[in-house]
Amino acid sequence: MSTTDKSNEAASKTPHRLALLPAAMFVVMMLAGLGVTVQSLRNVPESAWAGFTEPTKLLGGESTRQFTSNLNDHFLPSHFFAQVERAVTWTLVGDTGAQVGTGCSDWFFLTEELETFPHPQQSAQARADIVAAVAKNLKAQGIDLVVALVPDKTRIEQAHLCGLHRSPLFAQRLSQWQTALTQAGVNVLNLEPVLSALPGERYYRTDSHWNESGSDAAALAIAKHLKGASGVPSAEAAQMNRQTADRPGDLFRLSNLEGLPALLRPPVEKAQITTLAAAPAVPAAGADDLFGDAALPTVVVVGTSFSRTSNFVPFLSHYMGAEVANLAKDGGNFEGSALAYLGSPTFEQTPPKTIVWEVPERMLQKPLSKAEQQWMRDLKLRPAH
Amino acid sequence: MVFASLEFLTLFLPLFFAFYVATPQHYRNHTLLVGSWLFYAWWTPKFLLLIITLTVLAWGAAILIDKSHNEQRKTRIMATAIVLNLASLVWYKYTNMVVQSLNTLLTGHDLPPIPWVNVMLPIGLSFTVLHAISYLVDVRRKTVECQYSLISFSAYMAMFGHLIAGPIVRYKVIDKELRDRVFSVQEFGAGVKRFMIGFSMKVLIADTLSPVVSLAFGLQNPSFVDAWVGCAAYTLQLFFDFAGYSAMAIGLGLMMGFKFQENFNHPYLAVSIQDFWRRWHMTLSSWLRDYLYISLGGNRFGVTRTYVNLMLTMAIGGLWHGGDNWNYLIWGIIQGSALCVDRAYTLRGHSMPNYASRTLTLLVVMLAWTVFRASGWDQAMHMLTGQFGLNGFAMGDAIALALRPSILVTFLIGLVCVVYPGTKFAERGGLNAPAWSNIWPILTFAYAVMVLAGQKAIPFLYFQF
Repeated sequence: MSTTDKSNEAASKTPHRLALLPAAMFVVMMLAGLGVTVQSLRNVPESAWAGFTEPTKLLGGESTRQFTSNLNDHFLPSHFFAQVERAVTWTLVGDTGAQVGTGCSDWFFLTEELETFPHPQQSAQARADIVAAVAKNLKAQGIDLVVALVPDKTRIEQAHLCGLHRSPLFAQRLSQWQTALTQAGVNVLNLEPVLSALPGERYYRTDSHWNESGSDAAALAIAKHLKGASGVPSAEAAQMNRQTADRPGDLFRLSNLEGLPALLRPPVEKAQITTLAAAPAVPAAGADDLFGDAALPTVVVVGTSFSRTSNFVPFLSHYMGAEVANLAKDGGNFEGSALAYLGSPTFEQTPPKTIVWEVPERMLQKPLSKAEQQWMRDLKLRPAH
Repeated sequence: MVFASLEFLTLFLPLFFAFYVATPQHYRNHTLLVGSWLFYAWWTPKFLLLIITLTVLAWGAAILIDKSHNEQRKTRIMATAIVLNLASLVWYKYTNMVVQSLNTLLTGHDLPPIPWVNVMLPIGLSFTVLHAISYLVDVRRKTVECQYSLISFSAYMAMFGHLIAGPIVRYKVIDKELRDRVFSVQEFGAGVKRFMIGFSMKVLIADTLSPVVSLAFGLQNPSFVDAWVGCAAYTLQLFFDFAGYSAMAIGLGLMMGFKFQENFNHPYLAVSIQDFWRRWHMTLSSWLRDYLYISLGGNRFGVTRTYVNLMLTMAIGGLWHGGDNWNYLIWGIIQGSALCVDRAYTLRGHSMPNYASRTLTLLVVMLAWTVFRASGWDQAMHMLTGQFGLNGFAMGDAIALALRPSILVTFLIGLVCVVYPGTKFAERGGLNAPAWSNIWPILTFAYAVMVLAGQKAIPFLYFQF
């Protein structure tokens, strides 16, 4: 006899009141669901229904798919339900979802840093080719390019991985890429030795980025690389205010733990937050400065959220003794902000003297995006694979 | 529309049952038919016409068979209707594969390929065809009464519970209920419970394991551990997906007063391949036996012919499952071969202890699932190479990363659910204690709905069949 047969047999012997409990709950849930669905559909913006009633879309099933998508995207309790699920899986088995890995207590890591990809060497080489070609083009315009390599959190803070698997194949990926760039004549700074040598925590526990200690050290290393060690001021000179405050990191949000009651989630991280003095003003424009462009920053940073976190660019401005323009983008990936900036009128009209291209390690071996492939074609480079 | 979706749970189901209960008993087949067609049309409305055409064809042919007094004519009508049904299946399901294979051959010999735009497979067509064929044969064999009401027959064919992914409900099973059934709160309650359990199986176990399966089958050189983790995850995923779907279908049927046949009976506890096919997708295996194996002569024409019939039945059964690559045919041949070996072994009086035969059966089933799941022969070979240890032993980086705590726990729960029915705890009543047996399905269902609402629905594996 199957489980279900037994289940039915047992149900038939159950007192009437209990046997109807599933049915009663089901009806309540369905009716509640209907009410929530109607309310959720009211919240769908009109633009999301564009083309819904077109006959070809209706007959081909596209309209119903549009309906499904709108309902899923605007279903009112979705976020709450996702949090309940996380509360359950976190409490029972310490799970943080597919995008976040849990290391030692309170240490979270971005799964993307641990992912292996097909054709990793070819992808990394293709990116090295892009950088080399861009550096060559910039050099021809009299602009220096410095590539700042940001090591993974899982590399620098690997003592806190506690069993979270990091492929041994990643051991050389940073130095190999550095070597490839150096051989191509690109000015590159690998921040791994600087961050490794730094005592204490260099990255936030619940965030994928470096903390202020890490970003400060990285900014100092870059400034020294650009200006030489002698002309760099001390860190203290720039500090206006330094305090410790709650700072739930991006991994906290990404794992859906943010917003849960304190009992059902790990503690919120406390981090140092510094307010810095403004960077020294650029010297006033001279009489021959027709368009006022002498007052524009001569150093531009392109890259990712690393450049937008933990006062990285303010620290860099301080050590450079001049304003630094931050054109990095959150979620910019390898190419996002560089491609946007180099193709912008701003770059064309007021080119800087130096561009610092911040590249996180985890981007190196990912398969090339369509934009990167197009960039390769534009630069007349051979396709990667 | 899929069962595990917000639009089904929170829109279709409450509205359908509101109309269904409000409809006078005599017209409930009408409501069922309209609801089922809407359910089907939600996917691609234009294919509803095909389902309606096949339904009217089977309905009309059966009436002609019933009214005819000439036995040869009855057979001719039945054969014509079956051929037309099969023709639609062949066109929609296998033409792409045949043309692609031909084109591979042609281009291999430097000949121009046949210009071809892929034909889209309407969901549920395979099940519609099997329902139609069994009905026609049963009317011809006079084992069922011909249904003269087009509405009732269409309601049987289109019933949303079984329309797109089974189970295969033979007409004679619900003939009486189609003609006369009452809405019972008790049956509704029992149906709800089955639905809740099936829904939880699909959402909480099958869908959770799905990413690991996709990952493992996508590896170029899976190690021994990688390949077996992927295969074991798929073995559980397929069962919980399909058995979950069947449970939902059976539950929905019960809610309306229909009693569908069971489709699974703890298949991974089978002690032989023959036993496995008595427990896995039972409505298909009995269909193949009654309408194909017996029609081919069964075991009535000697030993050799019996083996040929077994092989043919399983090969055709394999091919029925899919038309996007030849792996399904190979899978069917593997099953047929295993059944032949099993039969020969048993006929010679051999036997082995239960634990050994269970393990061996599961091993054969799992290796065959590898071929079944692979997207093509190359992928099957990658996995099988790994499963036979030819790519090294240690777990690879990708699988190590994918085995998150919740995946491991789900894997474990799935395993326990599969093994549980064979335990003494289950024999003593286990989770079927009256109070608990009415509470745990509610809790798991509520949790499964929350999980579903927090993510996009994953299509059922059996849609493609």
